[in-house]
Amino acid sequence: MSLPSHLQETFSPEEVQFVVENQKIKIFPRITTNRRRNGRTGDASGDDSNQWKMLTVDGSVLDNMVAMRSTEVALWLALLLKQQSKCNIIIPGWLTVKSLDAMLQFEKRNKDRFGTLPWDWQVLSEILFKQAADDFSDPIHELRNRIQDLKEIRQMKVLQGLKFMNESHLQLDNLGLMEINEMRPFIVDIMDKLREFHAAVNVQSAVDDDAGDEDMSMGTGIYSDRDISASSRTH
Amino acid sequence: MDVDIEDILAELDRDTTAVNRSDPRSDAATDAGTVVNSSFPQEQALKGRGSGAVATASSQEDYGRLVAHWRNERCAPELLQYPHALMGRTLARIQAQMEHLEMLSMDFMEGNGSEQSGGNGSSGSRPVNNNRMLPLLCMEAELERIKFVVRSYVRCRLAKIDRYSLYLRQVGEQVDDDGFSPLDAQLSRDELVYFRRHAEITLKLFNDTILKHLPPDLQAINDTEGAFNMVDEPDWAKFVFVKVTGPPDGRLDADHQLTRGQDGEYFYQTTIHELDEDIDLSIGSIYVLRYNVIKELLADGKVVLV
Repeated sequence: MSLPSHLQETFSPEEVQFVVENQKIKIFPRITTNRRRNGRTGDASGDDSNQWKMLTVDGSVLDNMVAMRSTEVALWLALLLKQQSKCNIIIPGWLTVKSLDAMLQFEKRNKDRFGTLPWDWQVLSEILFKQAADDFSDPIHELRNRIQDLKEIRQMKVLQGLKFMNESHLQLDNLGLMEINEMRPFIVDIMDKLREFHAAVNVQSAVDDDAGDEDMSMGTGIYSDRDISASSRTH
Repeated sequence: MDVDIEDILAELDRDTTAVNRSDPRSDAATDAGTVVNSSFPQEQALKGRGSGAVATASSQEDYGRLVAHWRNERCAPELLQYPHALMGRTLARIQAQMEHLEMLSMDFMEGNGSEQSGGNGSSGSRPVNNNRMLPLLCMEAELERIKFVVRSYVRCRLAKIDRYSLYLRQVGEQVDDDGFSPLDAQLSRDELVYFRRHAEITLKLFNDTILKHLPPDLQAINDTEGAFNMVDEPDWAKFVFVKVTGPPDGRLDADHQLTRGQDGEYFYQTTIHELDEDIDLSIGSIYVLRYNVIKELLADGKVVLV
């Protein structure tokens, strides 16, 4: 098949990471690409190659980077620059001990709702822990613990919410993309089956209703004939 | 209007030297809000065609649209419409970028060779080379990313074409008065060719191995008269995860399908016909719904499949 079967139901974790890497993040570049307009025209021919002709991100942002002035770029680009030691990544505000603690409190207090974490919280936190470990102001092991707690609490809520699965619809606000992706094959499968059962039950009861109508419209004579023939068959 | 890929590529062949001559400084001046990167001659050719749809075709937005199409296609049970204009522009840009990168890397090879033969320039050139190679590295990484999205998108569509080839054949037979079938809009030209040949080959296989040995009235592959419909239609009522984003231009009050609730929130009213149930979809929420309920909203771009 053109698309492998494990990818037909849902996205792979790597693909989820790809989608998350398209998001923007703030960085402190360590190099300056902003060239002064004057005095540079006499340089060697390699000047043209410094031009960032990008397709999917705004090339002019990269061409105007000034060291230690914060700019916003796509996450994949920030990770690439970080690997080359050309930038420092600014950790987003929700990934601090204080705000994660507040989020945990919210999750514990409200058992039926999910806290307003960004949709890419799981993937982003994992990536930043691995690749931008020196850019954190809080100790990483504490952040990791809290992220783990959040994961477990939300997972418990999702599993408890599974009993609300029905043939009509579900509303799950504020669920992260990774969480949705994990649950997707299971939930879609079950709800499809529930839908089929529901449709089958309805057809059955519609058929029964029709049969009942016919009996009543034909009068008592035939009804009693049927009784007689039914009883004669059992003998 | 649909952009012809062959025309763009022909333009490309004619104008390859124009890529060198284009002014690189004009690129640095463009920001995200303005139109197309004007250094590419084929973009100018597109503008010259007078197609009004290119007005907001900045490459960042196009990439965003491409990723949205990819995600929607992966999650949807049916084959969605093929975005002819978007794919035309995207493929043209990828082609141009690949040639640009080839040219740059050739410059590098020559540049390195001449510096080493010069002798005393080599010690200072190494850190400069790293800085010079950085744009190249990033451009190559980005090219790989966009090629991955295009490939995965096409693979997903081909898998669906394989699965629903009999159903597509039925759709394709409804040719209207001008001789156009709905498949021309739904599939790209290459996909149409693939679909026809694949359908032909599999039908021949089924005929030769099984069908001709069956009794004559059971020999039709698209038999709809018996108890089972032999044509596999996409499951229209399959459950999908949707996120309601609202109208693409962001103007909530201009959208007629939105209704305003008591708290001043906006929501879409939808109905599940099989259950006679009305559901209100509020903006920013995630739902699990049957596909047929949100099909039109998806086509309008007001919800996305997550």
